[in-house]
Amino acid sequence: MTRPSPSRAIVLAAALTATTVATFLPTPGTTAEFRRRLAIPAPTELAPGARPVATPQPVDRKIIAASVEQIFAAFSDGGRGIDRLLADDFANRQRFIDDIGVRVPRDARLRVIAVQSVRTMEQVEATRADGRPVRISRVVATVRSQLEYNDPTTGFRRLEGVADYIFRIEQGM
Amino acid sequence: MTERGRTRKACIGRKCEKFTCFRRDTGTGGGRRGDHGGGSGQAWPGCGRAARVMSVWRALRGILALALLAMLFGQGPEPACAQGEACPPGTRVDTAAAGVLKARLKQTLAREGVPPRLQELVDKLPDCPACIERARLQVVSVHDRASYEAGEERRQSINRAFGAQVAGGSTNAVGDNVFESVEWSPTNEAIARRGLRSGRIKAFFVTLLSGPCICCPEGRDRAEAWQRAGGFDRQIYGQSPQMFNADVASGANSASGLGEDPADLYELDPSLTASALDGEIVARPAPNLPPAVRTAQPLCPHCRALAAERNTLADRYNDLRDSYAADYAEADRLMRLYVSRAGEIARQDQLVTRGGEANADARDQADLIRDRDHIALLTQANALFDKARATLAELEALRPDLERLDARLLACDTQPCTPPPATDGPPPCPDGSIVAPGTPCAQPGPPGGATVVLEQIVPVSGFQPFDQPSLESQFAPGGTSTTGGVWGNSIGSYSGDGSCGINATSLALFTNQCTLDPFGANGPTRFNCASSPAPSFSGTIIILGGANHSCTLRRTNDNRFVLDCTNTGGGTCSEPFDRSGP
Repeated sequence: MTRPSPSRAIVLAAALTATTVATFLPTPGTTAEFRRRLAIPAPTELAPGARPVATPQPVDRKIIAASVEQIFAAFSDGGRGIDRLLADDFANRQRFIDDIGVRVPRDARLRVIAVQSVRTMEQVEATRADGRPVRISRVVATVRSQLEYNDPTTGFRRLEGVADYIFRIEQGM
Repeated sequence: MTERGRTRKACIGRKCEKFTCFRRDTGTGGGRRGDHGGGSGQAWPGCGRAARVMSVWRALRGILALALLAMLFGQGPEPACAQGEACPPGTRVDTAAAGVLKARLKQTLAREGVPPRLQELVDKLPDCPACIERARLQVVSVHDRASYEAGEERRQSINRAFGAQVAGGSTNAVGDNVFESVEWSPTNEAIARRGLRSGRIKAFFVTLLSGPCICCPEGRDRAEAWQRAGGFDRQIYGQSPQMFNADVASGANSASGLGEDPADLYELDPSLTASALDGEIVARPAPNLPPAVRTAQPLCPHCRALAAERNTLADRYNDLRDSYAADYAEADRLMRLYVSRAGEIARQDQLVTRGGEANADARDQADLIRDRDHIALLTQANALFDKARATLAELEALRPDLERLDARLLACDTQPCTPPPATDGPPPCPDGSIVAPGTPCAQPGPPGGATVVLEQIVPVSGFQPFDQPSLESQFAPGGTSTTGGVWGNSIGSYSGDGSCGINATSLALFTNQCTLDPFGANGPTRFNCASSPAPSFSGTIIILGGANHSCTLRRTNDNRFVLDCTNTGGGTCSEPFDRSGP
């Protein structure tokens, strides 16, 4: 049995060290920072009977834009019909509907300034009660909105804001 | 040539005068007339005889001149009497000759278009031929002297100002009256009648003679008295001479005695009746407009069909109201113009008297055109007033129907919004619209038949219309939530004691998420504010320079909460916050 010579061991150790350093040292032009991830609160469990889709298909942007316009129009109409457009677990659902009719000025008009990004976050397939298969998608749309109304004391007011609107879409297959 | 004379004295009768005789130089030929008084010259042989001949010739020349002047200017107003006769020729009554002349005059008048009612005046003429020969049909208008002379002063001032002559009629002022004579024509008589009706003149007459025209009576003494009294134009009506012979006149001295206008006054437009010329103004409708009706918007979808019916009627009502306002304004403008022009015409009539007879037709035609234009204004204004009145009546008729629909709509919209009972027609669609039978209702929702619901919103910035606490804080009195969750009334600015290094922050509420901003070295930091205490979503919060902290908010009351933070190494801090502002 031969023992490696001390010089060869030193050379091997130096080579390993140099390789390691070269691997982890940043090179000019390739440095990048990690973006902060803001988790969107969302249920993580699948609905009973739902199965994940192998290849998600993005929901048509037109459907989302039309949905945004529809729910904004319902808001501007004093909340008439908006209950059909809100999920059952929408936060403060009934109180929100009541506030639209009671607190929001009658002449208030909610306008869509821009529908920015539209992203399909989740997509599962499920079966309806009648046995028909449906594709259920959760889509987040970043919408810039503006509420306009006339204040009795200060005159015309506009309140602009941006929010991510998360829609649940059921499409027949 | 040289002349020298010598003074001589020549006498004719008792009158003597000196004159100078001149001698013409030899070779020049011809004599030289005498020069009166003081002249010097060489005397001719026989000059005294020549002077006498000259004096006689001068006397004869003067007599001839006087005779010539007498021939030229010696014709008086009266015809020269025949030798041995007291009456001038033609001034005596001659029935036979007068009959012939009257018949000839009637033919002339008929040929000129004079109606029979005025031709009959010929029969009333005196039977002396001279009177008949001077007969001329004319219209005599009697003006008030004061107003007429006031107009005369204005007329003279206009003449001075414009350097022009305003034509005047044939007038004569007698007492308080001014008689204005113009040649008769249907237009002139119509104008005189209109003037008498409107009060501009006191009387008018159509006459054949402008003077009394009294025939010379029989008998030398009476004839001489007739001559002394003035002959034809003697004043037989006392101290107030007339400018016409009332025995051969037809007319009226008051509007009431005027009667109907004769049908032969054909030059007036038949459509311009006397009442129209006098300017009848229809009664104005009410100037106050009824208020306009607003569009109704019901809250309940089931009332929209009724609202549509009511709004259609309201539109019709408002259109009528606008039409009424426009017609009334235009009629009012025309009426003001009519009144203004009436004043101008009155002033013009007062200033400008009737012109000469040569341009009578043109003047009358201009007057008629002016009056027609004036009356057209009134007619147009009256028509618009009539239209406005009809529109107002239609408005009033619509109002009960409108009020009835308003009441039905109010009753519908104030009741609980329930679908109306089934009728024979198709039921309304869910959005309240009514479609024809067999036509499907418009499908709500996005295209493609997808069912879309909004699950959640994640605020990014600014006002959040779909966040219930945001709505409450924006539109609630005081800007704070009154019906929010546990943290609903905690929105505002806070200051801490710095135990965790935060010191000052502001709490905002989005749905069930609280955000503290600023939060030390961190950005806006979110907590799950569904309840209290509210844990932070992040476990890497930097507190007092150390990372990996998890924090919770403990709500004490609406104006106070406590921040508790722990890190993975077991370190803790606690900082109470008190409200410092809304």
